[in-house]
Amino acid sequence: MTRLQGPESGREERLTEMIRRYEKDILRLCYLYLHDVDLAEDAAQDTFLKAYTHLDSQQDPEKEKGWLVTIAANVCRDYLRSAWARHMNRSVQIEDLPVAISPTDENRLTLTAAIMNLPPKYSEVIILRYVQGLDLKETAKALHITPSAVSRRCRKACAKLKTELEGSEES
Amino acid sequence: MKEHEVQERIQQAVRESLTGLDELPSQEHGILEKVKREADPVITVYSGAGETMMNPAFPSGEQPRLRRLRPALVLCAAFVLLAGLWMMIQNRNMSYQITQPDPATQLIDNGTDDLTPASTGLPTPLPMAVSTQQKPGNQVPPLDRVDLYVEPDLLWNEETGILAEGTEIRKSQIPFENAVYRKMIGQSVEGKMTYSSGSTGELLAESPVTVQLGGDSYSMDMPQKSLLIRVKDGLIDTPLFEDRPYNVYLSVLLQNGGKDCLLTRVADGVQSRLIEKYTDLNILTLAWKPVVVYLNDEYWGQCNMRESMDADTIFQYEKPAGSNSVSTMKGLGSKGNMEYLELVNRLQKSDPANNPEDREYLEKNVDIDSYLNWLAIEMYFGNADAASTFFTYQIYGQKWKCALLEMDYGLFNASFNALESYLKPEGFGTTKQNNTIFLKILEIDEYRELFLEKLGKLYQSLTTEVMQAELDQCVAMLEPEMMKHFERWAPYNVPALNQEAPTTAEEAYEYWKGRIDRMRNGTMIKRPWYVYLQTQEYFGLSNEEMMKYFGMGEGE
Repeated sequence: MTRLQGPESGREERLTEMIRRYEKDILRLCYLYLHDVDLAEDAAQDTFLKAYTHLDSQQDPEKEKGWLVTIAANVCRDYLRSAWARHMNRSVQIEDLPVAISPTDENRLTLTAAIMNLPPKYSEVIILRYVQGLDLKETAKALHITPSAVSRRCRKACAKLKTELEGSEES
Repeated sequence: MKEHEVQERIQQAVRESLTGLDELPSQEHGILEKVKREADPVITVYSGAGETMMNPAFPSGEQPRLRRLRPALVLCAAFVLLAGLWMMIQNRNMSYQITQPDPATQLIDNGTDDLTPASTGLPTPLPMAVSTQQKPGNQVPPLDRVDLYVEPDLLWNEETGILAEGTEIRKSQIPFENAVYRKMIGQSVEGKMTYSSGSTGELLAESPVTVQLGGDSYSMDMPQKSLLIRVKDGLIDTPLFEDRPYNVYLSVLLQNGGKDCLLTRVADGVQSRLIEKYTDLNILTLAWKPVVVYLNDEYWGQCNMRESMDADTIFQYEKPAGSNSVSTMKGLGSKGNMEYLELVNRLQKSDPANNPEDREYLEKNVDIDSYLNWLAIEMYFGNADAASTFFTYQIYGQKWKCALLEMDYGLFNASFNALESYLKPEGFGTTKQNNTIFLKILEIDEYRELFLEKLGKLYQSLTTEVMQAELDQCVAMLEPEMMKHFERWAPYNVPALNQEAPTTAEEAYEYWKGRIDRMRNGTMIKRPWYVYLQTQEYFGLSNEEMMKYFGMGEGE
């Protein structure tokens, strides 16, 4: 196996740093998109591999997370376009979530499942804007829409979540 | 509530709800390894040698992922891992014997790092720089060659040709300038087929045939079509598949890989061969062999030659005495066979677990062993498409049996919970097809026990090592051909069908290798583990019961 040397080793160090800093965020994002731990791990891995390929195009450390999140969102969308994903039942119940052994507040589980069960265009705006904390411009860029469209979608998504959660409380 | 409060609440909820993800081991090492591998200019060939791996119940290199880290499962996992560690310390051989690589599937080593297929005068792939861990003298022969000759007008005539463009095709999505697919399904045209040895070029069979499009909708969307070949007069009088005892064929399918055609192209074949070679489950599987196809001397690429699932194949397999008719049905949702539907309807209202008459009816009409074989196999491989590829048949006067038709989506998603998906009270899979027969069988204690035994035997026979070795052998057969194949077909890959699939030969080749790597070093390591845990959870089995069915490995 050829060992990476010179400029490549610098790129490798940068990749390692990115993985250490953002791996959990990216894995969480991929899981929220794909609803499957195994696929999410694959997608997270693909995200870092793609990032490595285009590492030279991104030099601004402040935009690094937004850039990675955009790549991850694109990777996940590709996964969702596959015949496999179209074939799968994507609805999520709270017992499907990969919770740890320690008890988790059921309301929080319900909210997370509700976000995942939103129509994709609403769930992804919540994932990028609120879960990943991208600003309006970054979210707009990742979704290929305008910042005002992001705001509109956020409002609609929150309204849908509210309706959904109130419904589940009643039942 | 203000926006930042919404954000805070959502972030907190998601973080807490997904804490199980935080416990997964970092992928840093794997990612960096891949990066290094991709920076390395030497192309790795799957050698068939198989790496030394642990028994899948106790994978050492990569921790399996638990979909739900419930305490019971964690305790079980800890127990199994500790047991595995103990076994390692004891230096026990926990794995099943791997069949040695078939010399016929090895690569020629010409003394350098460059390997080439044996020279036969047949079209050869482009030279590639490849490396292998094979011993000198090993070789993989070029794929056997199928030539089809059909009057071009029957293929390309705009109105009547089976490959010509039709009105129902959205050409923007399928930019293959000469192809149409759906309009001419079922229509066959006459032609001639020759079959030649890849190693010697010797003509092995020649026959007038009919040619028609094969496969289902996804396969039909592909520019490289699957072709169903039926002999027009006489028989294909040669043993097409070395691993089968049959010498004559009336039809074969030249398959583009079906739902796996843009992925590994070997998934279905690998799984069929695993069942055939490493288990004693009595079930009809279709033989698989990769070939290259030429259509009117034009390269049609690599195809998977399969036996076609029809009455001839069933009779060859079953050899029934004094019977010459067979009823078949494909797909659990099919309404095509009234006798079968009657059976299902009657069983739906019955209670065979408690009513002896109902049980007698079930046992009289359904070959329970065959149905449980099918169910255990599909579950073990985690085929999410099992509802539509379900195949059942009944030779006149006998019971209904199952056959393994296609497993393109088996060994795809390691964590797929087939038990929950297949056995839902409301129906099988996402489309909720009728699963009455399976549910009724499994309500009977004795048959539930038999099912668990079958699943346990699969777990013990089809270890990660065994599956990887078989995959390596199959991939080694295709490898020398694939660059040429992708040069032919990659430019026609359609983003609407697979956004990932590249459109240049080199990238498509790398993508193909990546998909195989994913199956080999991801799914095949994790799947047995998931089957173990999901079975334990679904049936509520104790660790002792799991030991009874799934064992601890060879000799236990």
